[in-house]
Amino acid sequence: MKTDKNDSNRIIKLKDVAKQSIFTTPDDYFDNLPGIIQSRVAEKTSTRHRWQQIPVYARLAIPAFVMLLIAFYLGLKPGNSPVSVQAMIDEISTQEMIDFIHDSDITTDELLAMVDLENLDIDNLQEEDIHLLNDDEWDEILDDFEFMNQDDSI
Amino acid sequence: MEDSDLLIKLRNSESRNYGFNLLVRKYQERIYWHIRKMVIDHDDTNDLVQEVFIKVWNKIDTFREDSKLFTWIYKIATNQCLTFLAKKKRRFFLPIGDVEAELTSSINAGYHITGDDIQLKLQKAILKLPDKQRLVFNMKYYDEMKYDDIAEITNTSVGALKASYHHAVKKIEEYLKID
Repeated sequence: MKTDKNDSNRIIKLKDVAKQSIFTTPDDYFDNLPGIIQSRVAEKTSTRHRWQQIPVYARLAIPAFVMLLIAFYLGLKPGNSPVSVQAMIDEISTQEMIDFIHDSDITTDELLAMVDLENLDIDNLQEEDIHLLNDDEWDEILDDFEFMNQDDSI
Repeated sequence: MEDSDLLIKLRNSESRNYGFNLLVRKYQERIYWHIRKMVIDHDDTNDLVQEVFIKVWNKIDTFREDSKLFTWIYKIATNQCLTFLAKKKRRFFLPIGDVEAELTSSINAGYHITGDDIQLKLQKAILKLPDKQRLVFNMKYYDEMKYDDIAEITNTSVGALKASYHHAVKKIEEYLKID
């Protein structure tokens, strides 16, 4: 490591410092990492497929129902004004609600039993309801729909 | 394997898993070290690297070949780092100094850390840079990336990057002065 002899403050030039990393990894880390990542990807893919088994109209109704549950719970807490409850609900994204449902013990049948599907007017779904699903999810739902309509004898 | 061949495998449902495995093996180390130099801790890096490649898997169909595949992956990794560090700062509710102190203490703790005094001092000096300047410095100094590639990753002009790197070097050399 050289220093500038003419400078009484003994400045060290970066170019004179050996370029080496101080960081290390556990043994075999990079040998194992691809398998770990592949497992997580496979797990996420199968989780998505379970969600798709819930009918479209129920998937759209469930987040609204969960929001009502949360609003009811928050509304019962003392000191919560209607404005703050609404603000709290607004902060919850649809994906967070979906993740909440996945992580809970509630079954698909239990969820569907809570939703009043009789009065759900599918034909007049609002734009904002449809936007709960993104394009990729719509594509996958439509693929599943075609799959379900195939002749069972095939 | 060339990136173009990797992309063909990734876009074919039958070879997608195999193609993805090859992609991870090809880029995992570069992405790991890029993140590690920013977040310091191995365990945090491990989590972030996995998130990066899961994002790559989820978004590969949206990749437009108007940039290099590695640049695109690097960009995802860079955003993950900056988001992670921003969250850390929010948890502290305090200015950057405290996050810098935590990262410095990770170096001092020595967990999967090695190197002589000047190397450790250099790393601590780099930690004193703002996150984005630190990113630019690492990509230029350690990864020896071209300014054009860094510009694409950071959405910054080459001129601004050169100025940023120049100032970073000056700050680091000031810190490295022997007392």
